[in-house]
Amino acid sequence: MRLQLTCLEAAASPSDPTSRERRQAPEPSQLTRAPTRLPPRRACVLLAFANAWLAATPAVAQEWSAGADLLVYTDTDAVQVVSPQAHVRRTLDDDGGMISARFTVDVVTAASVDVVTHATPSFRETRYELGLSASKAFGAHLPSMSYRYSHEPDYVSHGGQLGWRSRLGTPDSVLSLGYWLTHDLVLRHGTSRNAFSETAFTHDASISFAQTLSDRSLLRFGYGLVVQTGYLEKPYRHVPLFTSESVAAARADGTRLDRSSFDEYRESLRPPEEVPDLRIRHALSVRGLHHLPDVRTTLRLDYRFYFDDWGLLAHTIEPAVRTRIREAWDLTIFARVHRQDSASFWRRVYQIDEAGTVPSLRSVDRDLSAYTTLTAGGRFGWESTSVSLYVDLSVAHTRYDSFLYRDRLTALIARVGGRFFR
Amino acid sequence: MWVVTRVWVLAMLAGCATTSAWEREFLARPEMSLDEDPDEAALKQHYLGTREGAVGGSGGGGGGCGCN
Repeated sequence: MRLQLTCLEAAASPSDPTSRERRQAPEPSQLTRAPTRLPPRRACVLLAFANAWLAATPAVAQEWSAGADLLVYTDTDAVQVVSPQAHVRRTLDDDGGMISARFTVDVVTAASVDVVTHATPSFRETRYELGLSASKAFGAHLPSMSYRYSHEPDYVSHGGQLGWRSRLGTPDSVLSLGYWLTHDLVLRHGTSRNAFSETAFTHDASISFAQTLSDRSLLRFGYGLVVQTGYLEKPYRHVPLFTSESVAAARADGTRLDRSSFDEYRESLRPPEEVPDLRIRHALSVRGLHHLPDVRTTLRLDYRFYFDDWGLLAHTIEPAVRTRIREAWDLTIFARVHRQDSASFWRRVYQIDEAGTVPSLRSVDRDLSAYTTLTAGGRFGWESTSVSLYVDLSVAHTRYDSFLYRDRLTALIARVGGRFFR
Repeated sequence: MWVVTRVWVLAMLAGCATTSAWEREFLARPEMSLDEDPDEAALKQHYLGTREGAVGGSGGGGGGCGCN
């Protein structure tokens, strides 16, 4: 500590009593000995930066927390995902300042329609993600920054974020701004990097405004703009093509083209998915919270309106009721309704015209199709002064309007986690 | 749209009043935080991002105890 203090004489905030006390603490004899044990200059600068950051923190809320979560996902399309994650956080102040690190692993096992329609029985893939975040309050302002790294055998992603949050005069009005820049490198399993290597950039800007309406009501409005450029396809997706004759033949046979029958009528040509290299996405959202103290219950309502320049339009609404069963126990019941229309170039069946022209834009990504998903679930939480635990279970049922491979999908999602505070 | 406009106007009017510290008993409760636990939310957003064609609209700040 003496070593750091010597390095930090100029860096620590002079107005902060904590740092002032620390700087006064060493005896003169200690200070004179310190220079003989100075670390290399670079280490000294790093120590100075770290200590200045921590020394400028009010002493009210310096708290460590560590936690772990586990997500298990399984659906009727033979996809299983197991995602454990661990994280650690140090609170720096009472105004949102903190430093944190998070490590997540995704193990995906799939024999889904996307996979088996390409004559591959199944695959298993593991993704690793590391996230680092830091924020520090300066009066009414909270700047923040984050970094995220994600790696899987055929996909590498780096992302950085800058954020700013400010109280507008009173704590009742808060404005938040954020910007993420992500760079993705897309590779193809079994293909050398020289033969296939694509990149994509994502710019994600957001603004939100939170307002306290009363001593028990809150409201927040948000707008998000996402601009994606580059390679936005999936390298393994190939699109089956049909002709008007083959479609007519299926109809004459009394056969509905679907997952079990499409292979019989499709053309031999099966080109890769092709979507525009630019996508501009907009999301408007509102979140409301209202507390009912008499029944110790909080009502929450989320709504999002989404649209993009691919013609996709979506509404998502998520109501929730959270009630405190006892002081340490709470139960949340929630639902989520997501309805979206398809992208403008989406077709259930892509047809080659009479001149043999293949549709220039084509996809079998069901996220670009029209569908409705209904989700219902519950979350059970328990907390003490040093530990909190939760279990979250939900069921999601999706009905696709016009997806060649599938009409319905049901998924089970389970999450469990715990936090330890010190 | 009319409902959204009304809610927005009400929010703006309410913004003229200040909630005092001693009036924030309920707002300071964990369930009144506008942001969920960030690590829990990250996991949730990750799987929603793989299931839905729409993105964005989550996150922000404010509310609760009156801190950022």
